[in-house]
Amino acid sequence: MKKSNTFGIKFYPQMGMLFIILYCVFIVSSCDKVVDYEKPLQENKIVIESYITEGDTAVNVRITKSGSPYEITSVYDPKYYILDADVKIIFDDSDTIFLELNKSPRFPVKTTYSKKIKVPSAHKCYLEVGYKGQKVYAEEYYPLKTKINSASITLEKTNNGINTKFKINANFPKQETNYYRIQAYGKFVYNNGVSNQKRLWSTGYVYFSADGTSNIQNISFSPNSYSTNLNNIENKAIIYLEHISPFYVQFLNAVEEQVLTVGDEFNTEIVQIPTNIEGGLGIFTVIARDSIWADITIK
Amino acid sequence: MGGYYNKIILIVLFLSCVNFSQAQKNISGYVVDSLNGEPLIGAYITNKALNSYTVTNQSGWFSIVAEGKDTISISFIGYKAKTLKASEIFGINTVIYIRLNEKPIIIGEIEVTAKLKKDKMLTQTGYQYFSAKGVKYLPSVGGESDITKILQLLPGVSASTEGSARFNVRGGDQDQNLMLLDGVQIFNPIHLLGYFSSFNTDAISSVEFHKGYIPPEYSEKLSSVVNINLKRGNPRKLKISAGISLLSTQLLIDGPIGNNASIMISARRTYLDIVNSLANLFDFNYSYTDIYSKLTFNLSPSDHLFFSSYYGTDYYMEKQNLNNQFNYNTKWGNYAMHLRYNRVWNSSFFSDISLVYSRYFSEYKRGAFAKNPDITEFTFKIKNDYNVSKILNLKFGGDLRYYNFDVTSDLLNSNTNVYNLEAFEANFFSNAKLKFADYLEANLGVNISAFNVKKYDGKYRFFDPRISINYLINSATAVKLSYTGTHQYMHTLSSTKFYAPNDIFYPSNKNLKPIKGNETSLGLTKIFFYNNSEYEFNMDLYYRVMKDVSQFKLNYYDADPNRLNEQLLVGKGWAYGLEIQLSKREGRLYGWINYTWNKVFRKIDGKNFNKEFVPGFNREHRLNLVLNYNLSENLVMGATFVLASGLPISLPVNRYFLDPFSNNHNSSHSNIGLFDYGGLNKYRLPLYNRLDLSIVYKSRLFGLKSELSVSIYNVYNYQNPTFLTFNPWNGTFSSTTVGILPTAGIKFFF
Repeated sequence: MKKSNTFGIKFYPQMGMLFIILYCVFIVSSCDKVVDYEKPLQENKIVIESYITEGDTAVNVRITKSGSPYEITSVYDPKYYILDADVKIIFDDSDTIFLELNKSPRFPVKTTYSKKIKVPSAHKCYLEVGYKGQKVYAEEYYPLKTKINSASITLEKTNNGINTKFKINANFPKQETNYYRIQAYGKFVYNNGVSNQKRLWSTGYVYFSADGTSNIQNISFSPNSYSTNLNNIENKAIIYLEHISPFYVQFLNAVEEQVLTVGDEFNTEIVQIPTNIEGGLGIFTVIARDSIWADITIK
Repeated sequence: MGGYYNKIILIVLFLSCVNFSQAQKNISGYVVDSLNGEPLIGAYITNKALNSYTVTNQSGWFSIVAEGKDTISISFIGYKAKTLKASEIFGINTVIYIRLNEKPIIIGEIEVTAKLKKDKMLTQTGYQYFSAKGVKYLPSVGGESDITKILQLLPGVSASTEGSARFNVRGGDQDQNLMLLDGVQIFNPIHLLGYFSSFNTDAISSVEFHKGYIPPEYSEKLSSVVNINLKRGNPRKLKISAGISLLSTQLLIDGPIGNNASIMISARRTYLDIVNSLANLFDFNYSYTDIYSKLTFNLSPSDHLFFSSYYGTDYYMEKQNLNNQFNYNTKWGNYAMHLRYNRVWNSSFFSDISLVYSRYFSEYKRGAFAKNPDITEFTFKIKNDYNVSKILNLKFGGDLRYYNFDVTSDLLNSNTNVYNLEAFEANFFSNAKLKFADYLEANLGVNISAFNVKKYDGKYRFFDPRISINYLINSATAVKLSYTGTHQYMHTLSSTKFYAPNDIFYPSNKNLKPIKGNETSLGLTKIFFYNNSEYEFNMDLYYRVMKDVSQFKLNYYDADPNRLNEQLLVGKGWAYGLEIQLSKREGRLYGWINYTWNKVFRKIDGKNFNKEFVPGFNREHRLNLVLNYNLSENLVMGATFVLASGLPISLPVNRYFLDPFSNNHNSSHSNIGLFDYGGLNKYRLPLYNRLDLSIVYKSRLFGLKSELSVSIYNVYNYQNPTFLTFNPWNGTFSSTTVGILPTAGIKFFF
């Protein structure tokens, strides 16, 4: 699919100029100027970011608050941090976990509320955050865990980078479209004998959809500059097949689309980012994960 | 539905039997302008003795029942009425031509006649007619009046964006207006990024505009029909005029060919590219051209043959290499041809047979690479007008259409495909106009259509009823009720909010359903006199619903017909509103003032979180004032004033950040954050207001009759923000405004 800012009116690189000609030269009276427009009322909202993954060793919830869109700011501005919230997670209406502030002294921006537990295989997960009289909450249902039967990875070196190809045989449910995220970690052994597990690529969310008509899925993605150097890789990698919710996919797409188009209202329509946080913003999602060791073939 | 139609047929058959007596006969003929022979569409013909009336059709033809002793009166707005003895006409064995004389401009106010006119009260809701002459002196941008800009001053019609020639009618999208040039659909009649229409007022004789009730002969579009009639060419005298304005140069040739034929040729062209080439101002060039022609052959008093054509293009060139040559060329435009034959079979039966060709094309060339998406239409149609009896008039006919579409998406990408789609459409229509009594008239109509797209399994059939009822409360007041069912097989899919020449015209298919609509209108018309002048008051209430309205998802598209269902968001729309207009149609000072209040909504699955929203073109309140004033025989002034709600916009209400180091989402947002808008189009730009003035001075210059026109757009230089852009980096807004804009033009008549 093509993004509109690669064609449409911008398709003619100087048509914007023609527009200005129309009003400036031909008609002499048009101008583009900064205007002091009456801004809408803004109210700070609690922003949640949490990805609860079945089988993980901890639950993490990042809690911040929103600010005015009409001032110069930065992600590192401490005014966005919330350091005194009450946070709890309830699995299946019974198992309640209270989360504690886990400050990151070096990177305050990574401060989260967390608890080290083995994330259970539950049916439902409920999050509740209280902060200065405000309360926001979210409720998510686990996607079905999809068991992997076998998998293989082929890495093709090209001039532009590495083509990554997966072949996954799994029990994809035969129902409406399901969405999956893949992550793979290879074992790297260096000359000094140190071994390390590293992601095969650094972009976090290669995902695909499957409707269960076939148990075998072939997924490939093009080389990118983030691909890991393969010089020291061993021939095995662990693959995580993560069943993610349609809402999470919708959220990912909207974030990406908004980043591409914000400030280009002349050509594009605004992109609204959905939220499943009642009374707040952000995302709370639950991921069902299965993993398998797979052979790597390097071409 | 079939039962409904059977009932209509039975009523028609019954009324056909209500025949006239031996002494009664049909009188038929044409009503034309005495000077230039142009047909007068909608002229009102009455026979007081039989209490019957009729109006001329689109060719200016009428048929009315009369007895020998009866007196027939013929009237038309802006023309001196005429009366004829039926006995004088009975003796003539050929089709008669009734030539009406235009009233002089300066005659003081019109005289109050004993009988109020009923013509306006008998038209359907939402119908407007105006001659090009009546609006050509109104203020304009660039010194040339533009029909689509005049339409935007009517109630229920608004410009899609500031200055645009595109418009929205009663909450419909801008692609829901059928633009007909002499009966031929012009697919994309837009110049200069949509700021001017392709319609040159010099070539136009009159314009008919239908909204609300759309007669059944029109099936193509959902919201409105704009029927622009070209001049036929003066049958008596050759006339040439030439003009220049800040936008273009124009030439009009208009005159007879022998005794039985006439011709009209009109051309205009911009000269910005020529100036640019001489002065080498810019690295790009732009021009547009329009050429209209119409040939009229009077084969006999009963037989007329017309051939009209239109060619209009926009040409954009850009230097994209170092050798200073224009190597990137784009061209887009319309071709249209129409061969039409009119025949009066007898005093009660008239036929109109047409062959139509229309094409919208766009060409993109960059070096050796080229793509040419386009749409072509061939149509054969027949319309018949049968005056069955004094209480029944029948219009019926049909058409067969063939469409050929070449669609593509990313035009500069050589890997994108061009898909060819062929479609066939057949329409049958009939309309029975029933005059139940002097105070009650009804139109019972239907349009039946079938549509088929080859390859992509799109087969659709529709039965669209069209009903209008006019009830005269008294001789000066009428109540009008109408219902119109419509559908639209043709879609314009756009990837941008504004007009772009690479908008895709797409036929309905298995992945793109036709848009369906229905509208109910209730109107009141009152004619009254004040200070010896006639005024007309109109009030319309309407409610309309649109189903299967489609849009591209977010901001991208792929033209592959097999994947359209993945590309589109589908939903519904609805609108309701009140339109009030007071107009004065004749005299030294004439014009209108109107107010529109309208609420428009869309609910599209996958958009605005599936909640309803107001589309970006909707101005909830709008007040228009249009005035023409004849200061003297040589001096005409025009003024338009618009006061309207600002256009809806989306504004961010919150900025927030996700973890900038996370792999769980696109972290590149962390430079500027993410924005929460609180809703789509939830806010509005400030109140819009603008006053335009014009003055036209007619004199002799260099021994030639001339017209010098000066227009001032936005006289008091009000900075209406036409568009607001948000800068996410510093949180400021920038806006494009159009301030005071004086323009001038001059025209010579040879």
